[in-house]
Order: sequence, then structure tokens, then C-alpha cells
Amino acid sequence: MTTATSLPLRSKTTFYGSLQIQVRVIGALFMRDVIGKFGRDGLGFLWLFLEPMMFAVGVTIIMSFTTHSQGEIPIAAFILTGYSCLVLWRNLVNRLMAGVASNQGLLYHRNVKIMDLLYARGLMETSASTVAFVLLTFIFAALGLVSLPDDPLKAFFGWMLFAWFSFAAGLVAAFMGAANEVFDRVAHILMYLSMPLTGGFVMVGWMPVEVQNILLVSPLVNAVELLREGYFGMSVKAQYSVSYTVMVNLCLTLVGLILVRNIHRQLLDT
Amino acid sequence: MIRLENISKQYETIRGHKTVLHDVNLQIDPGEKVGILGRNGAGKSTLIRIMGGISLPNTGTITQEMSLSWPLGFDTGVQGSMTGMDNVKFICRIYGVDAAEALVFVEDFAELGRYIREPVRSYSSGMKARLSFAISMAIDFDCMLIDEVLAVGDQRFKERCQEELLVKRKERAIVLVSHEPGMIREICDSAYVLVEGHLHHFNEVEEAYLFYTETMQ
Repeated sequence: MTTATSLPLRSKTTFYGSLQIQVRVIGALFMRDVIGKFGRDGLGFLWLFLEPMMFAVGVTIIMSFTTHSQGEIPIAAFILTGYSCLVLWRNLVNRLMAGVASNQGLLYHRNVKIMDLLYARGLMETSASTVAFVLLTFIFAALGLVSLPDDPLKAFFGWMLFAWFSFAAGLVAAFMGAANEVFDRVAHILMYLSMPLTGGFVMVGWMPVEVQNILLVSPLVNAVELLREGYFGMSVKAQYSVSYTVMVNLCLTLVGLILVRNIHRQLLDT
Repeated sequence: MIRLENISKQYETIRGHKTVLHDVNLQIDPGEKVGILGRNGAGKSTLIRIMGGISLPNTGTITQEMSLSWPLGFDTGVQGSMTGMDNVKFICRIYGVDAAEALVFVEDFAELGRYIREPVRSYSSGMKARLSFAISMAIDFDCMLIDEVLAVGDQRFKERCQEELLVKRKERAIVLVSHEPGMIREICDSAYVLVEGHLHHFNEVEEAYLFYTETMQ
């Protein structure tokens, strides 16, 4: 059987022309996600801060009774950094996983590609969590619970590495969610099991050496350690490798992009 | 101009491959009004989805030199969770068209009144069709892909669409896909008949209609 494979994948649109379209589409999807998430009245926007704040305050109260503060880090600040990361991880993976199926109708417009949906969602979730994290830092600082970050740039760098890994994992989750109906059921279990590997609630240095070695395999742990060093200063004795984290992130992103490419055919051709 | 050459399309089913389109050839020039007749399951929707860039064919070439609308049909391309107005803005942004101008046209043409500020999921199917149709006209594509949508609107809307498409924008091309020849006989210059994935071309709509009724027996 001979097949002419001159599919319309090769488009004559120039790279710049395509880029313009893609930026426009992602912008439109982003705006749509913002309105969808926060509504028109802005009350939804308030929840973005209220939710993590209530959690952080609650856990701070419980932990100040039950645990002895480890080293120099105030509990409130420790919870703030840990919980913010956890929310970023959870939201990015979950929202990207759900993002394809719930927005399938949008693919009816030829300019909208699956990757655009995922970029827009990723951008939206990352921005929302970032704004919440920054504002909560100021609110906590104003309340005297934390002091402002020691090295904000370093902290931000750790945060971005964390978001990058979460986004790449979200791409893989998006593929799994679209390819397999059972995955939805397993996914939230996996998310629970992944919690220790986010590094949100411990410092690597508090652990025995064997556990440290396991924890440091996780790029998320590396990123959180970097974030905490930026947040609390050198006194926390963070352990991380930036080059290792970047390498893993790059590889996972590549895998994610290849997988997402395969969703397109599957979804649209049924 | 849009040209489909040797387009074939297969679907995977439980019982193996099912070929929906066999070696289909089709060309639409600017301003041409073309009808595609076919029974349910003949492959009409697949064909129009391939033209609209939603599905990819397994083999064949598509040459596209004019802008095509998304396939306007029961699947309307508008989002139920958003209001009509947000849909207008969103779709305009996607296609790079000024939303404020489009909104004026859509409000006038779709005649949704205050419903334009309600979520689309509360619309009737006729209202949805009107909205999606109005938006696609505001974006002003060179060619409209219409999948039996006009059947959804009432008589008044049909007339307004015909006025808009055949008089005010008569330089626009139209591809009208239907299982029912009424509308195609009214507005199309030539027609195709799709029988079990094979596309037959006729220069006269009447010839196509005769062939179509023969295949129905």
C-alpha cells in the first residue's frame, strides 16, 4: 500500500506569523482562564489568598503546640514556603491534567492547539500562585510572623525551577489523563504519595543521610531547598544542585512535549 | 481557493479500520457556493472537519489560500460556561479581530437581547446557532463552512442569513453540507454527493439531486 504523506502539517505560514498567532491565542485563553477562575466580581480572587492563609494559620497554630521548632526557621514562615509550593505543584498538575478534556470544544477553532491550552493554563496557575505567595509574604511580614526574604532573587529562582518541573509533570499528566480514563482515579493517589517528594514540609538537613539521598533525587526538593536558602539565608544549610534540577526539568519537558503531540491526533480523531 | 487532493481518512474502531473518505478531490474558488449532499454517516462531517483543520486526513494534500470559518453546525464552537459577550471577545481575540466592532454586529444580527450577558449554556439551540453564526460573520472569513446549521434557526433568521450571505457578502464562498437538498437547491451553484466515502461532483445542483435520490433507493 502506497501512501502519499503530504499531510497539511507543513504550513506555509512563516515562523514569525505563526508565533504571532500563538501569542494571540495564548493571550486569549489566559484571559478566559482568569475570568473563569476568579469571576467578574473579583471575589474569587480573594479566595486565592484566603485559602492558603487559612491553612497556613491553622497549621501554624497546631504545629506550635506539637513540634519543637527545628533550628532557626519560624514555623509560620516554614509553612508559608512549604504550602505555597505544594499548592503550585498540586494546581499545575491537576489543572493541566483536566485542561485538555474540559476545553476540547475550543479545539474547534483551527488556531487553537492543545499546547496553547496547556501553556495558558500553566501561565495562569503559576501567576496566580506566585502573586498569592508574594502577597502572603508581605501580609505575614506585616503581622510580624516572618521577616522579608533574605535573597529574593535566589528565592524566586528556586520558585521558578519548582514551577518548571511542575509544568513538565503537568504535560505528562495531561497526556495520561487524555490517553487513559483510569488515570483520573489513580492521579489523586499519586498526588498524595508525591507530597513527601515535594520537600514542602521538611528540610533535607533534618533527615538521616540515607533519607537525604532519596529526597535529593526529587528536583522539587532541590528547588524548595534553593527557595528556602533564598528566603531564610545561609543559616538554614540547604542542600541542592541547580544543574541536576535543570537537567531533569529539561528531560521531563522534552518527554512531556512529545507525549502532548500525540494527544492531538487521539482526541480529535474519535 | 481551497483544494483537497486525494484525501483519505480512516478511523480506528473495535473491529479494525473503517475508511470514511476514499480518495476525495474537491476545490472551492472564491465566491463559489457549493453544496455537499450525503446521508447520515456518509462522511459529511468528517469532510467538513478536515476542511476546517480540526481533523487531519491520513493521506492527501490540502492547499489553502483563503480563510475558512470553523464548521458551523450543531457543535457551534462557542463555550457554554462563558456569556455570549465573552464568547464574542474570546473568539475575536483568537482570530485577531477587533472585538468592539464585532460585538456591535453580533448584538444586532443574533438578536439575543439581554441574553448576550448570560452564560451560553442557558441558550436554546437556536440561540446558540445564531450566536455562533453571527460571530463567524463578524470575523469575515473568505469561506463559510456550514453544517446544516441554518435548519436550527427560525424562518426570520434564515432569511436574514441569506440576505447577509448571498446579497451583502456575495463575494464570500460557502460550503453547505446537508442530508436534505432544500437549502442546497436554493443557494448553491454546484454540488457534490457523498456516498459511502466517495465524492461525486456535479456542475448542476439538479443533477446532483437526481443522483442523490437514486442512491437513496
